[in-house]
Amino acid sequence: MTQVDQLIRSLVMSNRPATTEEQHQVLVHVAQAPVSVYPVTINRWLRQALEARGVQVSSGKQPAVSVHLLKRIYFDGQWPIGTTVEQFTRDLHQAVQHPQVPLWTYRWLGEVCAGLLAPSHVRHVPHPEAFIFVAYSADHGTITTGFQASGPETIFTDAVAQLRRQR
Amino acid sequence: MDLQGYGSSHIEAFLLHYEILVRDLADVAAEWPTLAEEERGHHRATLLQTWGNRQVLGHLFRGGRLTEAQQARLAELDRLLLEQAARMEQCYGLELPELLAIFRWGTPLSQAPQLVRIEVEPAALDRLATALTPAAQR
Repeated sequence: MTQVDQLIRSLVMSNRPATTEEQHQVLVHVAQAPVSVYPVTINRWLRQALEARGVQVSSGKQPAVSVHLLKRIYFDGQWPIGTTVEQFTRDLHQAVQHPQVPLWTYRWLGEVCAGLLAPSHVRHVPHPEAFIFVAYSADHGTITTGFQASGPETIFTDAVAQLRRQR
Repeated sequence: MDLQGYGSSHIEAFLLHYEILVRDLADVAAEWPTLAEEERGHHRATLLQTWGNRQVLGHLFRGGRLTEAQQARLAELDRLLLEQAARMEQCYGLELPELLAIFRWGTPLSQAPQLVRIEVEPAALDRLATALTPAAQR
């Protein structure tokens, strides 16, 4: 676990506000963090939903980032058809680097996370939203998902524990 | 919550994410004991968006923004969710009282005449009873 991951864990466990320097450390860290490429199973209904939209996926496991990207393109209409994993990753990193990006720390189903919500720069898509949300797991050291959203109230439910806006 | 920006395409996308969650849940639960922590994290990350969307769907339902067909679909998915409460707890650690948030957010299931059959472990009922006990009596 990196020093910044330990910092995020410390902020969540103590529920204390981050200093300006600590906020900066987290933002710089997430802006360079990899998006999870761990191989994941595409289960039956997900596969069928993709096939119904003309997307054929091989039977083996797929990198997690690819699965998220397929959903963003074909289910949500939030990224253009043809977007590569590399472009998607760049978009998430670019969002995190927005000068006014708010930062939250929280625990989601036991996992220690940081979340960032920047004004969306991905606009020429069927269903653009006002913001891009980026979720980072301090437990895994990766960005675990990213999607467009209209605001924090549509992301953070009561099930999100120890939620604190840090910036 | 400002619902003005949400149209039918949003509702259909939210329902699709939710449908994949509840219809793939049996397979995910069967695999769960052997899944690596990274893959479990992938499912948790997916649920963050889906559960947030479910909250918005509740508000949209209360706001009269769902068609009859969308209401029927949401009621069926909510029923499937509750029927698999034990799997939701096994995979995600979300207990029945947390799933019942759908009634606070809004669900057409509350108006459905059919019974809902929920399978839960007795220990979950024990926790539920504690949660329902007035604080002064605990």
